[in-house]
Amino acid sequence: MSFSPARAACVAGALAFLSAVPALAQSGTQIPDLPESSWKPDKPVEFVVQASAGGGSDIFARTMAEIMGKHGLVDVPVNVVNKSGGSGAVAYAYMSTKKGDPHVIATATSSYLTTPIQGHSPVSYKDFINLAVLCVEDYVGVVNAESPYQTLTDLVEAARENPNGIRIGGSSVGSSDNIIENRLEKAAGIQLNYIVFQGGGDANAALLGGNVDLAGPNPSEAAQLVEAGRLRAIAMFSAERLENWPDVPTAREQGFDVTLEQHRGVILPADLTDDQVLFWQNVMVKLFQTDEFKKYLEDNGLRPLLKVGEESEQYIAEQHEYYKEILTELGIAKKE
Amino acid sequence: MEFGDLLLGFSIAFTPTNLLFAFVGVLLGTIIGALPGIGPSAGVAVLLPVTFGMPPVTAMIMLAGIYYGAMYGGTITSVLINTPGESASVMTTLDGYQMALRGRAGAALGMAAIGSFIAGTISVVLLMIAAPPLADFAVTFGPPEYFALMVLGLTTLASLTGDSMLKGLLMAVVGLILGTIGIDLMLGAPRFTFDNVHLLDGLDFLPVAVGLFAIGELLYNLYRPVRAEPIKAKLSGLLPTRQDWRDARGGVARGTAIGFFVGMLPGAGATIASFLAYATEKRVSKRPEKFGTGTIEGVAAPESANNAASTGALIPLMALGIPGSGTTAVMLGALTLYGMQPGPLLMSTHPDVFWGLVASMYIGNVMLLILNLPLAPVFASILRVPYSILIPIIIGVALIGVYSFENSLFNVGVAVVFGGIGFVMRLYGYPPAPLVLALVLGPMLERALRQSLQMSLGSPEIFVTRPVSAVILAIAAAAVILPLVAWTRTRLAARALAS
Amino acid sequence: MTRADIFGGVLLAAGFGAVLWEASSFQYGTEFAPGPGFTPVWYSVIGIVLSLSIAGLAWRAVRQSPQRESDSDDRLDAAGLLRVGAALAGMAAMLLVTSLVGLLPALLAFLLYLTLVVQRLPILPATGASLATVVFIYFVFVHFLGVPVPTGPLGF
Repeated sequence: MSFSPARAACVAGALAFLSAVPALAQSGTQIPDLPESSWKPDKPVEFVVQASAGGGSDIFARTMAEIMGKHGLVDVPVNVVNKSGGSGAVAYAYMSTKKGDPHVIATATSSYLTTPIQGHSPVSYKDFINLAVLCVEDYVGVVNAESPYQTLTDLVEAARENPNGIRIGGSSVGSSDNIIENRLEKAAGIQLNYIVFQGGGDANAALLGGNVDLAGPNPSEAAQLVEAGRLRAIAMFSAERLENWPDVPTAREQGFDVTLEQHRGVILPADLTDDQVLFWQNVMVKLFQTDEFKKYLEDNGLRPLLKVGEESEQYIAEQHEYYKEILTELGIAKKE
Repeated sequence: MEFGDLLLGFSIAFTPTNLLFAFVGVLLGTIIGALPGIGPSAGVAVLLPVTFGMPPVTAMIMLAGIYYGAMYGGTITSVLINTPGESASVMTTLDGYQMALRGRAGAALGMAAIGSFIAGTISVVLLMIAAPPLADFAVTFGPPEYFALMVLGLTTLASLTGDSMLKGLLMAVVGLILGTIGIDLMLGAPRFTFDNVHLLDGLDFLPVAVGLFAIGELLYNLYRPVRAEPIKAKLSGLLPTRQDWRDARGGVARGTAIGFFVGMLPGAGATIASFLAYATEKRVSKRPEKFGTGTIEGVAAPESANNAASTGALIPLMALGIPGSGTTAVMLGALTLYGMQPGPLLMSTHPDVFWGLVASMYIGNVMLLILNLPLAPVFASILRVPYSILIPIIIGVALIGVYSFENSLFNVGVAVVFGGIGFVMRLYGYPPAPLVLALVLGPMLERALRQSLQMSLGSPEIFVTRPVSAVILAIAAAAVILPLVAWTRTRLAARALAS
Repeated sequence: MTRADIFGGVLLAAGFGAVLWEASSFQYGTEFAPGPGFTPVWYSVIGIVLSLSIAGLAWRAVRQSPQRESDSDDRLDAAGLLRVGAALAGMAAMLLVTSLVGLLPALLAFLLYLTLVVQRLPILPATGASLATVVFIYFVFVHFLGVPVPTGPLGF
């Protein structure tokens, strides 16, 4: 199917009005009712972050540590420790040496799953207790404001006429941008030219400088550049439109089934007692409901999504299958 | 820019609270920069929670103070004990440490402070008057331009080779190969990682540099004491002289220009800026043979450059919300934490933050000059401690500094191994500087080459059809060909004379 | 250029040869751009050429002036090498015991060993400098900057 730009814009406007309400509904997460735990930590807790200081995961961990202290959820000090390197491989290898120690927790995002799938890590999600998922990040397709592509359809048409002629900038193989590229190629039957930059910031710079045609950052990373008229958002790669971006149609609405969300959560070492796990589940559920955490999510453009216990394990297992399929298709999954 | 904006800025920066936190920032920055390992990006991140609850402008004033303060501080350990406090100070060890061995540590530190002050202040002026257009120019730098810049960097490596050109080039090749260790960004293939998770991201520059320079030097001293025992010069004689200033001012000017330009490019940074500044200085100098033996301009140029670069890196951050370095990436995170959206609208939606920060940077640079100039002789007096007592102190601080860089014992091991390698290299006259610099340039060079050819679908024309890339490559070609022509001419003239 | 450079050049050439061997198993190119094998292959080829040139030049220099062999500069000082080796071994041992006793105690033990055994300093300045260094590191890095160092059974 193909849309004219004018028609797409019109449809987009109508859908924006309709989808505002359901978009709200999807963020309403069930708060589980958990019994109190009889165990609690008796020495300082180490909060391991798989990325270096100042990045998204680091701020996620530091915000949570702050809330845990301020609300008395954990009455011992919670010390954030950065163990960056190897896209998470260093941090999770370290965590795997902490079996049975309830005084260590760690942050986990998509690299927790994608790095082991690529065979770069000796441990995988099955070696840990997947304590909780707290939020998800969305992705938006942006082009330079001076670009001729008004919609994703325009861009796909151009790519169809000129295989490999449309450049998409991303941060590394197997990253969110790479997955979006792959899904879009598959959904539209096109061939894009994927250029790997070092990080999301560099890809945005390349987009502004006209060195690539498309990038897929988080909405929060692109918000100001879009608002200032430097970039144009042409598609949201989420299942439904986002509350804060009612005018940006999803890729699905434009006829390309490309969705991607990446979670942020917390894991525990294996071999803990039920009581110890219950304690941490309680902390996560209470933390999720604080105003500070809600403000953090809003400031960083993250969508709240709470899953603990069995639900969390199931979510992580599903995500693992999803990534495995895509990375295998990209030819970078380790063969078994 | 309007004059009213700057007045607003100064009215904000001159409030007692903001003055106090500017001072706290530059003081902490000096300390953090001086400690090996903990660099400005880790320092800013560690102290980030302290700023919660402050007004955003105060927090940014303090964090920026840490950033450019660290550039002043990094000089201290480089000059005094041959241990670069952060990666942008490696070039300073080459001549700074030689000056210290000759009893001129105070002059080196003093000139570094003056050069940093001048570079910092000029860069703030540029940041103030031209941030948006400069940022727009900086983002047009794509892979072909970075490739050209790295090629230019490689051509200047020849100027760092010391006694034997061949050995220097060989060490550069070793550095380039070490730079390929880790997961290849383009295809995700591991290279030379030997199934070690710590090698997936490659060798970090800092443990290698601390190993080769600081630990290698200490081991060589254990092998054969080289250092003249306690330096007995008078404190008053330790500051830069009028002659020093005459020698260094050209280096300060060129260092500032190069540093600012390279610093504002999101893919380059202060380390490369200081490297290019040093190499340029050696090339234009009338006494290039003296470089590496303790020339004042060999200290002034890279120190001015790294300071200018730290201010230049704020340009894409403040004007576009794009971080140009590890430290500005942390500051970007900080802005979000304070509830601001970094980006092109920041200057109009939060003028107080932008102009308050700019004004505070003028004040902060003055503070740093006042702080560092009188302290230079005091720091230099550390060298009066017998060297045999300094050895355990330096080795302890260097090892823990390397650990704290990424909380990694593996990095400490890397530093120890490269300490041993550095000792052997020193013993047989292989220079370490080309190795560490090739280690920095190599990954960027390779990435830019592969990105460029991927962009052009394999056509190498992309390097010459883009004007900026073509111009930089032409400069690089000239940098190789002109000395060769001059050399051939002197040889021919000598032969003509002989016959 | 000395006899050591012949040996060093050949050794380095062998090292580059090993790198070339390993790099030849990497993908050399992709559809349009160089692959992960491109730069390691060429770097190691250049490395082999350069290191063999050094060996060759050194060999010629040694042949032309064999009397330089007696230069005192060229002879290694065995006692000095022993001190360097002992210091390196000490650092390696420090890393090995860190996970058992903690980083700072291991460092203190290493510094005492370095100053007393390797450097043979008098006992007072040796213990003084070692202790002062570790106390300084504790206050600046651990206490003030909050660097999480591995701790031992004693809690530091």
